[in-house]
Amino acid sequence: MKKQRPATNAVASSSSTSASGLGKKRSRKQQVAEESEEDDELSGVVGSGKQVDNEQVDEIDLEEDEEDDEFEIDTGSSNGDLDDFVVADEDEDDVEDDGDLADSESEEDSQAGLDLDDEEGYNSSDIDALDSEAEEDEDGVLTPATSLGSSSDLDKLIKKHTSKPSESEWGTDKFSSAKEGSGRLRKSRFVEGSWVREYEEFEAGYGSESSTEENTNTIGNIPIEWYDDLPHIGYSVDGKRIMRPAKGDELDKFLATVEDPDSWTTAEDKLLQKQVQLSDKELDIIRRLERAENPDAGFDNYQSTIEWFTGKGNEMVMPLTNRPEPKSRFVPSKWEHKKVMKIVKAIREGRIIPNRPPVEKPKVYAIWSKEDQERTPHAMYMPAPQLPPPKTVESYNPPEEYLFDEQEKAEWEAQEKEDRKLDFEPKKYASLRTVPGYEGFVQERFERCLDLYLAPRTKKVKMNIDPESLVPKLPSPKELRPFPTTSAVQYRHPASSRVRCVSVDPRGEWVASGSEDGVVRVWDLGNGREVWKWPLKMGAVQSVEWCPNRDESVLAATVSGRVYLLSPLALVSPTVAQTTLTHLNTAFASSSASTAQNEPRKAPDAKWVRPTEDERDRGILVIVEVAGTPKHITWHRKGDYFSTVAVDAANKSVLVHQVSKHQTQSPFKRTKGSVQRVAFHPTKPHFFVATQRYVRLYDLVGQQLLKTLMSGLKWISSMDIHPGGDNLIIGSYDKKLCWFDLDLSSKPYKTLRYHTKALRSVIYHRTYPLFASASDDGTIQIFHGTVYSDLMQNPLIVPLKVLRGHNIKDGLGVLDVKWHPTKPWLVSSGADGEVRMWT
Amino acid sequence: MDTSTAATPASSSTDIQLPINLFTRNPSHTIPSSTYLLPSSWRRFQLSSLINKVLNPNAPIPFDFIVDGELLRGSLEAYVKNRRGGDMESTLHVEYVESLLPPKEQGTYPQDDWVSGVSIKRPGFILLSSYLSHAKIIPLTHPTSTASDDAQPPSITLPLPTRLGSTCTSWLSPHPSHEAYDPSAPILVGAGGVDRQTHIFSIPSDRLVDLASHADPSAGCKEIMTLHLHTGPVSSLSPSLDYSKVLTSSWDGLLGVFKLPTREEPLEERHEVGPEPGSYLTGVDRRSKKRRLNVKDATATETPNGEQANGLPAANSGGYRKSPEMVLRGHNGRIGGSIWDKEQAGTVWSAGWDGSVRGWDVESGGCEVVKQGPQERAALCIDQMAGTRSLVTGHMDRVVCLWDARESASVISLTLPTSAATPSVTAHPTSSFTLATASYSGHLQIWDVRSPKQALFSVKKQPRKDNKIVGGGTGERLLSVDWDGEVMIAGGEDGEVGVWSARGE
Repeated sequence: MKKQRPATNAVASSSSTSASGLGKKRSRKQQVAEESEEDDELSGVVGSGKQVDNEQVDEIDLEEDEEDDEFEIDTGSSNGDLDDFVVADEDEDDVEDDGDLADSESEEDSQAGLDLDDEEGYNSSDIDALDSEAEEDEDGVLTPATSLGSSSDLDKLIKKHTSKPSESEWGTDKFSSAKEGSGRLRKSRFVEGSWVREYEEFEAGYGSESSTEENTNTIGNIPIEWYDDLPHIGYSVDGKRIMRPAKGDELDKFLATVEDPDSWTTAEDKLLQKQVQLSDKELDIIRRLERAENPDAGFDNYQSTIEWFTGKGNEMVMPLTNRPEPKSRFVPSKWEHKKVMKIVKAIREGRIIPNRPPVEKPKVYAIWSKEDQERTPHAMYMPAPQLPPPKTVESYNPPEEYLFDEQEKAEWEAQEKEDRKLDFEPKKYASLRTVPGYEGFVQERFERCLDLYLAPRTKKVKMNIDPESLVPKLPSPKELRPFPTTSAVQYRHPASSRVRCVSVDPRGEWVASGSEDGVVRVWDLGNGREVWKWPLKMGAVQSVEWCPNRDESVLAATVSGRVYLLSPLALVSPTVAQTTLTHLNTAFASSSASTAQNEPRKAPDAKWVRPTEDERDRGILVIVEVAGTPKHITWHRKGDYFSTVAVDAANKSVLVHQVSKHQTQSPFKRTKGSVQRVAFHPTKPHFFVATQRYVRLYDLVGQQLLKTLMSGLKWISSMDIHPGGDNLIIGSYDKKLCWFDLDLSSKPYKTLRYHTKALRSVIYHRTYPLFASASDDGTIQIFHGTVYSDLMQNPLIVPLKVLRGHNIKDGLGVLDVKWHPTKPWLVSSGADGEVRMWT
Repeated sequence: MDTSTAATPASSSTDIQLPINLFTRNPSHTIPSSTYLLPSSWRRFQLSSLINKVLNPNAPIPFDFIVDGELLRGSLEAYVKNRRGGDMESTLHVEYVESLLPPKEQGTYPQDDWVSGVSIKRPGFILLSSYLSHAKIIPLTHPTSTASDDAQPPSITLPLPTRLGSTCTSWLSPHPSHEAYDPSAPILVGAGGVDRQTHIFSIPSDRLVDLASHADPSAGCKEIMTLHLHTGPVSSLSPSLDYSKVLTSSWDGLLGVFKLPTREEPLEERHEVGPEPGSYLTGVDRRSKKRRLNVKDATATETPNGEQANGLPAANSGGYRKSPEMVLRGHNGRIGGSIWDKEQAGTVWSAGWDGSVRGWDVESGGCEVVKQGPQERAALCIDQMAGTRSLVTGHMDRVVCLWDARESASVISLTLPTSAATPSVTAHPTSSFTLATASYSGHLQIWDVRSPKQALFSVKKQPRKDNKIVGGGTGERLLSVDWDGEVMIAGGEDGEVGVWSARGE
């Protein structure tokens, strides 16, 4: 290879174009720089240079088509061929030098110096050398260009030279001198009119044994048996079969060993399928191997020392290099700094605690178990129950008293296995040695396995809740005082006729009662003295109700077919009496005029009648004649409107009367079911209508149904609205009391069934959180009922007291109850003709 | 106690000895204070004779013994077993008080309608007000024990110009023992009515001296003043200490102070306010209305003295209408009762249904003390104890409360449980411990505040046999009681005034 270089160099310089010169120079520079950095990029660099070459050829050398073709073929060849190609270039020498130091050492001196420089790294002298080479190239390039002699080509060349070469054209490197016309052109045998360059025989020079051998194995390293059935073993370069060498039979072999004195030094080359005579050199190697010596004959086992650095004259003046100290030696290390900062950060964050006292191991600990150590809590950790310590009876040598006597033994044996107190029979042995094996062992293990298998160990979460704690905590009645407990005052009616209704004056001073003898009486609430009465003489008084307006004193009472508006004028102060009279009488003047107009039209719902002067003087101020028997009166909170319910008046059962205008209207054209009770909402313009089973809430302004409450009762008897307006209670003839929370649902919030007979009346206290129910069983039940302003909290209902005292007469008990407006006192009326106040 | 045998205390040697500490608040009866070991079987009599032995008085004094606010009724052993759980070792602190005799019924005075108020402040005469709308003065000398007695005792009847009834009555002139007594001045009597007015009657000064000798005792008695203020029925009236003013209270929550005619300031014979309308209807005069009211009332009660309405034309026309000198406002709701302070002139106490007891200064008209009890504890009446000035109120919810009047901040200091609502309470005129109550259950009770758990005596007034007044029920309700320390009178819904002799000291 070394011998070849001058020739190729010359070829290269003569054939390379001047155009490629600059680019070449640049590419070299680049290459060198790259080579010094990275050897691995070698093949890539080579590839790119070669490609540039291709373009070059296309552009310039039109005549050398054939060459081009060949070149094309070359590029398609394997890497090995390319290597051959590359080797031609002198730059590649350097590359090879880089890659193999051993080679560079054996090079010529001049080359060695350059190589050394290369080893040291990038060097200016190297660049100079390259430049000189490049100049050399430039000189040579011009000759072929002129020889081509085409004017167009010349123009091209000039153009190329005068303009700045494009950067993309770099690397028109030259690796092969094949195109440079070193060979002899001859006519191609295959293509008519084309030329093929024929080269001289070429001595490869790198002396591969196999390459010079005639019969080389061309099939590669494959099992030779594959060719057993074939006459040839592979193909030659020319595509001809390499025939299998003739192989003699066993007799030939034998004869050969007999005839040929050298046959014992032959060996079969399996690859070539023939006997090969071993050379003396080879035999010598074999012999040496037999003697366990170095197979190389020239190896001197006892070579004398070559003193390179020691010995006389080789002493080193300065044992250290004068190379400048590397920067890393005196610049603080960034990497170390980072590491230290990491630790500092960890200390600051507390992940690393400096001077932490070492964790002391306990001096004494259980070797075999970790029971004494704390366990990390785990759901499935279930420690086995502790076994009781063995007892004396379990001893192999128990005291005599533990042993069974006959009777005990018989008893023990008679018992069921599960019933036995001891599951074994205590026995006495003289020594532990005489104790027999435990005969129940297998059975016990089997049962234990069964236990484990049939009862997997899972944690059973047992709900350990005291049922008492689930019962809502109700405050004791003692904490909810005051509430009525005993009968304090009795309002005695002359004959014991049933008192159907009572009512307490809004100021809490008078009690009005209506009894079946047709008399409405007014009583002093405090001492039970009857102070006023109106004998209406119209049959039983069905209902009395004081007007809630405190500035007036109006009592509404109903008898069959009539509603009376009464006022105890003598009992009240003149101003109150005057207000009352004005309110009740103003409409008489206008109505007397308007009745004449009204009469021709349809029959009015009710007729407002002016009583006689005598009656008026006694306090009977207005009479309203209505259809049916109004059994219930309820006042609007402002005291101008009141409503009556007459069950037997068909579609005119509910009437709303206005006192100031003496007008009556029937709010419902047709009522669903028979209306039992009605009530005004305490704050809104709403109207509650209770039929036998349902309570309906109407909006009087919007004239629409707002809500229907499903009571679930068979027959509603009474109803009252909580003063807050969001709750109501209804009592029924089927012994139940229902509390509705209007915000909650249309079903009862609570249904209380404490009475044993039908409820007659239910009522809320206006100021205290109390409500009461009266029943035919002669009792009055007092309940505590707090309604919280917090909407999330349900009302609290606590039964407080059963008031007994009224007698049952004809199956009727307490008929009506009313609360005192400001005190926790209750007034009740009974079928036994008694009215009582309870305090 | 007198009938019990004077058995020796140490009847049995096995008797348990109890440590007992005896003390009293009466300085004349003190014995050396020490703890005695007494047999547990001892009763009141043995204890009483023990103290008598120590004191050695001229005549033996019977004593009562109070343990833990309760009168000792049985033996000491029984008490310890029942109330102390058999704890025989701790010392019993026993207070002894001079024993009182139980009230003894002297007779009854049947009336024609409910007796709403009684007064015995003038010795020898019963003043009563009735729902028949009159006040009546009956001499105490002729008690009739039988209701069927036709011979009515001579009495002065002072009819009110209304048919609604009278609620309360009081003497408004000093009785002879009083320093302001003027023998020549007419005797004034007041009665409050349901008609919202207080009527003051004058009785000739010599009339009460020999009542029986007069053919018509009521002649010459007339209503001189009508006190107009209230818009509700009058609940109580009482004269001031010097009998120059009268205090009225009413359901409307107002207290009125009115001047009474005295020698220095005789009655001004003029109306200060206009008349109340007899009828609110045009063309109906007062008299016709009253006739109708009479018709109405006739169904309830038959008026025996039918001529009453016409018999006293002077009273019928009413007195001079007077307006109050001072109005005290503050109570919310009905005032149950009001009194003048018994020692401090110019101070007035009132108790209302709003549960408060208020002290007023009449001169300024200001409410000086407000003692607010529970709202629902409505007070029906009030009186003041003699010595301690503490106030006694009877309540609707079956208690009698004592209030300390000296401390303005304090509220109820003691509560006596009664069996029913107490519409009337009277303190003993001199004793600072005893008081009498009447209740709706018909019981008259004498209390010692040292024994607050139990009344000293409880007498149930036997309801009238031939009860024509009350429609239903037994009519046992008592409405009023008065007690002058010797005689106790009470009246109620059965229309009978009962007289008992009862000492409180």
